Amino acid sequence: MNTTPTEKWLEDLTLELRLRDVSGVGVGDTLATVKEHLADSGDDPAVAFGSPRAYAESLDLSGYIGPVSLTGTIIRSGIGLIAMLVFTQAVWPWAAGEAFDIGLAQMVWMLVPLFAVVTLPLTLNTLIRRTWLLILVIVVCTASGFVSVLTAPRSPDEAWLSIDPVLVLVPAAAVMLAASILSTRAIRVDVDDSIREPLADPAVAAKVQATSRTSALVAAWLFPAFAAVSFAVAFLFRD
Amino acid sequence: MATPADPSAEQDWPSDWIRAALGLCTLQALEAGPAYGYAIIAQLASAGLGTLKGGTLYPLLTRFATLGWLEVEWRPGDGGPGRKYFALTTTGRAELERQRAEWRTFTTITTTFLTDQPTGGSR
Repeated sequence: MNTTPTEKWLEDLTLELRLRDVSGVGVGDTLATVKEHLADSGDDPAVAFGSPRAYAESLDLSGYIGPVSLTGTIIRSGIGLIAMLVFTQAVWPWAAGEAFDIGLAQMVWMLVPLFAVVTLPLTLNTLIRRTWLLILVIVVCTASGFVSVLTAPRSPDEAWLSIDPVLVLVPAAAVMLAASILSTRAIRVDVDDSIREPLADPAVAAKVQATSRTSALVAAWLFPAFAAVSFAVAFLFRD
Repeated sequence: MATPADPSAEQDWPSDWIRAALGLCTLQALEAGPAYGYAIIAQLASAGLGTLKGGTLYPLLTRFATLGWLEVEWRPGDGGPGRKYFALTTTGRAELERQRAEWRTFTTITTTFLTDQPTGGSR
């Protein structure tokens, strides 16, 4: 589907407002106000309102701060992802009844995505606004994950560190579950954070809210679900 | 009468002057009753203040609403996205009275200063 420049501008404004933790009702109100003005004036949004970032910055929406922080959600997801990656690497040696052997190179490559997640509070605003940089970081982290698997020691002699896989599995599972439980609590605390325009049909708004909540819950439990599947597969195919 | 559709009839005031008077003039535009954003822009343009951008007016209206000077009501539009009406609250009306009185004093002083004959600088 092609996006018109106006739709793109409104999407960017939505992102800028969400980065400032504006609630769904606040975002809906702001979008509807902009659309009303554009319909009345026939102006281009960039001409009438400037850049989405500058416009979002200029609005005092302190009365519309939502209970869900986009930054918090993304950081929790990043921590859950790292825990899931560690869990899935340790689950196979556990199933085989072997020690979890870690090579020095493997450890270094695993630190790349960890570093990316730990520095997210500093880099998130820049990454979200620059799609190419975000894609680059995701590609580098994914590639590092693959390389860490490829550089895993092939025999206990090559191992830099050899530990009981349970000592890795249990903390990784605990971190993953904690991240998912915190995300679920954030979704439950929020009565309705889906974007809702002021005069929206209540039935449509309720449907959007239900879809938004379901997809947020699925996203919150995606990594534990994947880890559980890995655990089940490793258990079934153990030697 | 100048309207937003007739920009040639407008005078291009220095932006500093507009910035200084805009808040007060926006409150004044709402004294007669509730109005939506573009109607306020049209009213200010008709008064000869130039055509404001949405990016200038709405942050001001949002700030005034947060301060409790304005209340907001959405009303269904004619097939459009609906209209956001802004109305002065009692506090907003009192603020308009206060600012208008201060502005009159300020402009009187300024005008007197500008029309007085030069008496020479201090030596």
